[in-house]
Amino acid sequence: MINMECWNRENRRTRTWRLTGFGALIRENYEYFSLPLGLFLFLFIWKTASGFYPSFILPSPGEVWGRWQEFYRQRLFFHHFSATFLEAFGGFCLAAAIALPLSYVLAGNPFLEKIFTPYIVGMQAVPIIALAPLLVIWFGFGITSKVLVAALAAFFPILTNGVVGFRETDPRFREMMAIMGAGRKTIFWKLEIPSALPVLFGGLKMGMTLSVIGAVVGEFAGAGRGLGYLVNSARGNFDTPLIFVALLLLALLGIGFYLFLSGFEYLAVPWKRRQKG
Amino acid sequence: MPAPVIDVKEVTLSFNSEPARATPPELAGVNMQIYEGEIVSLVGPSGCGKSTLLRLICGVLPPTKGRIKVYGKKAVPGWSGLGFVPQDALLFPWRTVLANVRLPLEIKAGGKKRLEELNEKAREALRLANLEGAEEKYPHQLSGGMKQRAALARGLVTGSRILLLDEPFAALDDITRTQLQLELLNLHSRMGSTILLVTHNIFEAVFLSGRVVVMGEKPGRILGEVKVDLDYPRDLRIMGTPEFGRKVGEVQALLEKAWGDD
Repeated sequence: MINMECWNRENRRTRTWRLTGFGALIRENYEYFSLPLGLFLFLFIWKTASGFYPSFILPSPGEVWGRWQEFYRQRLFFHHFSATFLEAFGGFCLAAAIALPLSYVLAGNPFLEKIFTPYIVGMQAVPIIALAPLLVIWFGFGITSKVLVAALAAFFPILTNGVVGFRETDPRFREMMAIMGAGRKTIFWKLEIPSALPVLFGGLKMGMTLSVIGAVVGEFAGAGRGLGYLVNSARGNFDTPLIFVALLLLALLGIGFYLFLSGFEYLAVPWKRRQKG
Repeated sequence: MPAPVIDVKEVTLSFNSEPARATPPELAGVNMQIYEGEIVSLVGPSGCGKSTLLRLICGVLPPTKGRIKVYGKKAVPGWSGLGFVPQDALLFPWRTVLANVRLPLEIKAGGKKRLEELNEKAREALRLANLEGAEEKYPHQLSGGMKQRAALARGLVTGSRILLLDEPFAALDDITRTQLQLELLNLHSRMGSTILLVTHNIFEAVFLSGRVVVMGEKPGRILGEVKVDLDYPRDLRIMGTPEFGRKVGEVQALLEKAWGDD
């Protein structure tokens, strides 16, 4: 009995010691190390590669950081970032506001869907980059034309996911609702919406990423501010570090939007949280 | 003779209206009376319209001919005196167990009552169905038996005096099924509910019910019924009695007669 106790204590001590080892520390908490480790590797490779090229081809991380500080000091960050943010977000909201209700109508009405589908697919088949100049002619160099380009880019995935999501409402659930005496409105709020939500969020996330692309494409076609405009004008000056600043800001904007929607999804779709890892 | 709780009179249901190329009607001339506090089973081959008959009684499907009365009135969907327990439980995956059981109350209240009030009733129904402590779980976290208990609680939550069960135990393993059968009998003896149960399982039908109604297919019709005079409360021991075996045999004979017709 006493021996057993000693053995146990000994064993526990060994385990504790192992846990404090550096290798084990990383192994047990690798998810906290993966992000800084990846960032470190990325910067290291970038730094090394930049040694082989002149600055106007591939600036080093330090140069880009310096350009960013200068850019920020000139108070240009908010000026450009806010434009692209508003264009992308506005375009996304506009697309969602039209695509979601439309997808609900199309999902419930095969006849309307047959009428609409060729136009929707046709619209999607026209490259957005070819459409952008036209929208700039129609709506000017201001923010409106970019919002529309962003909306067009985001529209399609939101719509198709919406149609799929709303159509896949389990008919047995519908019957169950009918047996419980639910009316049209109750079925909409308590069955159709929650049942479609996971698929809807898939489309919204895709649409949000595409809306950033749309905003930049719109700015390329003609604009006076925004991160896309910044890339374009920096290219003219061979100011490659500034292009990198704009690209990194665009990446951050995209990631920010994605995280925002993922957080929203986490709150709105709690029943999917722990399924399949 | 008291008035039946569920009264199905000469009910015919056919889905195609053109008589020229008519397939046999789903149900033809079905008569069935169920009395207060009875447990009645409907057995028959798949596709004979057992489940359809339950939907007619719920009122979500109108009969082509004939009439159905529940407590002397025409059946209306959403009537709180009637609880429906579907096959595969059909719990909404986005709702917790408690919220699933609460749903019929929410629909009935139409947002006018406080959620806590409804939750209290839902918890009570979960107690009746032996499913305490799983309130905050989502359906995908439950075992088959627990899902079925939650579905039973949802059927009971409006204070239903009648329970319609559509093959409620079909997807369960033998041990869990037996457990739930005993729980259903227990519930019946405590609440005195009227229970109409659709099942494929002849043993289950004889074990649980006072009457077994046997249906045939093409068209769906009632072939006959077997009265099971074994006393309630019942326990598993009756399955070994000669009387039990005889009743199973009688139900089997009725079913076989239907096969002979083809």
